[in-house]
Amino acid sequence: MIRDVTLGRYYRQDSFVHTLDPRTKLCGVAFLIAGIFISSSVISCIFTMLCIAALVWLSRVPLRYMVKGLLPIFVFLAVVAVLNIILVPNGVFRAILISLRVVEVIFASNLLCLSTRPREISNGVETGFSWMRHLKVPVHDLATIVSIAFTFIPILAEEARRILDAQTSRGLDMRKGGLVKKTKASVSVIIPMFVSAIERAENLAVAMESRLYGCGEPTRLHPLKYSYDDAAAYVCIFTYLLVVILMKVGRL
Amino acid sequence: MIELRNVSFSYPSDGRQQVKVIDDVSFSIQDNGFVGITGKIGSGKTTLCKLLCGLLKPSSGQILKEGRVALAMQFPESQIFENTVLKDVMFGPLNMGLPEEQARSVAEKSLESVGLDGSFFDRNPLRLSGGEKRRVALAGVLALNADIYVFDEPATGLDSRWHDSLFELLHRLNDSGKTVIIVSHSIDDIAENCRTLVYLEDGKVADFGNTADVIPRHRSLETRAMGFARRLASEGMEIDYTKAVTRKDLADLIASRIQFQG
Ligand SMILES: Nc1ncnc2c1ncn2[C@@H]1O[C@H](COP(=O)(O)OP(=O)(O)O)[C@@H](O)[C@H]1O
Ligand SMILES: [Mg+2]
Repeated sequence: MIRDVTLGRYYRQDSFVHTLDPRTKLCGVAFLIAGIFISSSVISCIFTMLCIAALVWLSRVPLRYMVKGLLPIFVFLAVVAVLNIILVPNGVFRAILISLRVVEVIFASNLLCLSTRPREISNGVETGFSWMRHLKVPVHDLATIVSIAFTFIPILAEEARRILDAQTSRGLDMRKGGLVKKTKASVSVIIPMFVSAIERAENLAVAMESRLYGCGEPTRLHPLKYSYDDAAAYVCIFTYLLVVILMKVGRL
Repeated sequence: MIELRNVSFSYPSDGRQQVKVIDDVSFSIQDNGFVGITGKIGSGKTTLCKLLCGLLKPSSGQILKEGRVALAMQFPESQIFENTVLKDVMFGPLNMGLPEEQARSVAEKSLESVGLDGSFFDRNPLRLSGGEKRRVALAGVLALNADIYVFDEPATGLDSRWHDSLFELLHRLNDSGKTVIIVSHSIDDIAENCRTLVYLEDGKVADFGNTADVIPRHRSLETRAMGFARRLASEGMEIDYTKAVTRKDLADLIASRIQFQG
């Protein structure tokens, strides 16, 4: 499962979605997720799905690549859906609808990560929320935390693979044994993961401080600028949310 | 014995172009050999190690093995997870199905063979020094009681004292009848210790054979002793630097020159 994590990994491509301003994309994802939560009917769910499909097509990220990293999540969803069907009256319909909406949220946020470099995301968060600085919110630090978290996903996945390999060659078999044995087995991977993550974090903190992180307001190498594409995108985003709200009001 | 026949391997890729990381590799290693694998960064050494011990399956070709293969990965100390040294080393033997008592005695033996005595057994391995952690991790691999041991860059990041005792350990292992395969980018370490050399270039075997024969054939594999001999030759001393592969070779050559003149 950890062997091919594509969740949160950037996919290099030259597309309409990739070149949008990160603020636009963040706003778009926020609106999409809001839309998904508002919509409770099949029709509006399908409408959202079509919008996401259009975005995926525009981003020119291969669908196979997107879906591959999501397989474990699909397994989880299938389990939840089955439980829903068994335990909830009239569950089949609701189970499908709920899973559909979760899948939509995952696709929307995954698309953001695939089409936007972590650096851009943090830049977008920081610039987009810079007005909160006046409320004494440490916007820059928060953005840095977000961006580091994103950069560390593939690094930690690689580390997990290394450790899993090492324990496998010491005779670990994740598939064997009962629940107790399996728990014990995963401990042998999780503890080294924590050790290495904490070591990395410490090293990074020292490296950042020794390069004067936090000693003043940093300047930007690539200040963000909106283009006409962004204007068009914002129109689409607002239209989308409007349509979803109208559907809700009109009980469609 | 371990034999590779036309082994190729590529990592699964995301639909983009697939590169053969290991490309049509064939060689065989006799029992009780002491083999070095060298090559530039990215030439596929680590991938070859994983193929040898079965962590990866070849995309094509065959690997024939007699006996079990154990792998000590690069920076093996990242595998440590138990709260005492002894328990961590026992992890492998227990996984192999040994009863607790036997696993304990195997673990104690391998810890002693890496030079960690009883005073270490109950200590927390995560609080040891870097060199001591490396030893605990290596003991964890030795406790697997395999016939063939593969070490991926075992000396990286060790100071010279630990470095020398590591190679002593590897020789002891080899003397006890095991096959030892090490990956190293230090051609000096390989020249001084290995009898056979696999030279990888871009996933292909660029050369394979007796260490003393292979090294002089490649300019990029020049050892320090050879460099020194070449300097002496350029200063006018009649010395064949291609014969001065190890420090001992160099000393012998110089000694014979001195005797000849004296
Ligand atoms: N898990 C992996 N997935 C994809 N490519 C990899 C992976 N591991 C290594 N590679 C690639 O395989 C090649 C050989 O890597 P490796 O065997 O680690 O080389 P070496 O150990 O000689 O430095 C490199 O080009 C590397 O980028
Ligand atoms: Mg390597």
